[in-house]
Amino acid sequence: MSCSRWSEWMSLRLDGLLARDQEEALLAHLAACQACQQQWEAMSWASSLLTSEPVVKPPADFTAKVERRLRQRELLRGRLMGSLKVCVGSVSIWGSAAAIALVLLTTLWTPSLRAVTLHVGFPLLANSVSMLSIVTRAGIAGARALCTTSTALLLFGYICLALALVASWTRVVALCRGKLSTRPE
Amino acid sequence: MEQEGQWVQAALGGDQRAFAHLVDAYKGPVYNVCYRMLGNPADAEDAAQETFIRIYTRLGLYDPQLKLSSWVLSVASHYCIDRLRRQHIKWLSLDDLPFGHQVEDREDLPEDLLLQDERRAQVQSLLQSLPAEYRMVIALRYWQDLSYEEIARAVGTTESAVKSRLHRAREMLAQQAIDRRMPIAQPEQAACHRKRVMTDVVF
Repeated sequence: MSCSRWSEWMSLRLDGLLARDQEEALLAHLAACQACQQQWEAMSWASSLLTSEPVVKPPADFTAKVERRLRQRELLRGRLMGSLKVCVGSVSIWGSAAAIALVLLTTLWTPSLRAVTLHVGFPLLANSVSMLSIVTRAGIAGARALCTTSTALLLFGYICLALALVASWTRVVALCRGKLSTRPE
Repeated sequence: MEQEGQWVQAALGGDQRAFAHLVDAYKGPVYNVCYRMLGNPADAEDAAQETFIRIYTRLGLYDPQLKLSSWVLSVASHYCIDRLRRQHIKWLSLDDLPFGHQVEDREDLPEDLLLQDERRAQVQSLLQSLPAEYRMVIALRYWQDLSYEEIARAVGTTESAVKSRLHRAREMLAQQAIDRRMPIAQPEQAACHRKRVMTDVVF
């Protein structure tokens, strides 16, 4: 058997996993082989050094620190989700506003569709207001998660713009309706 | 064990107090593994905390059929090895390490504490000379008293691979001891069987 094989047995012996006959064979080989004897002495010395080293203990406030870190992580996650909601809310507001405005203007511009528009325009407007309400609520939820003054102000600005947009649509529709009703047949 | 299962379920539902109980139960083994892997208390504490954050976020992936201790140590070992790889840690030779520097500045300490410091420095410097995978099996074998099978589960390999790594690691440690002319004792003094009492957690 080669010395590297005996070396494997040395490792097994340190773990107490060598059978009695194997152990006797190993000891007989160690008595005859100086190189293996030296390696065994070094290996068992290193092993006893590791064994004598006690288990280290974490600091007393370790659990509290982990809890704090978890809370910070949750807060950060909440803020990221808040930012995402504000972004999605903004895009939704302006996207839906642009789409509705485009539809309204196109149909109002087409004489054959004008009457239909006035009847369909209001439901559309109502829908857009509902949508605005939903995305605004999402934005407010996001702002709560963010809890920063700057974002709250930004959100307030978006809401004002959205209200102005709704008011302008209402005004445009009212004007168009007034003009159509006073136009002679 | 049932208690642990309840803590896991509660933590999965977002109960951070229940998770704190799990941290209390496993902080010793996790911190110890991180300390032996990373070599200093500051990195070990940071790594152990990060390990528990990972455990919290991945608790849904835990298979209740497995022992929780094995899974926890598996997360810790993978995190430490990833961290070492990310840091491109420099494998120091034993001559480069600051042997006994902590001791030199603390002359007022009693002699046994000085010896303890010196021994700890020796242990850490020997461990740092090993590749991370070998160091991990040594840490789990010597300080967590795990069997080959448990080590294999924790590091995600086979029992024969664990046996081989332990053997190679011990060979390397022995070679380091010879090269550094360390005061090698008689083999009869070596403890072949671990009798360490696990106080922090019952595996």
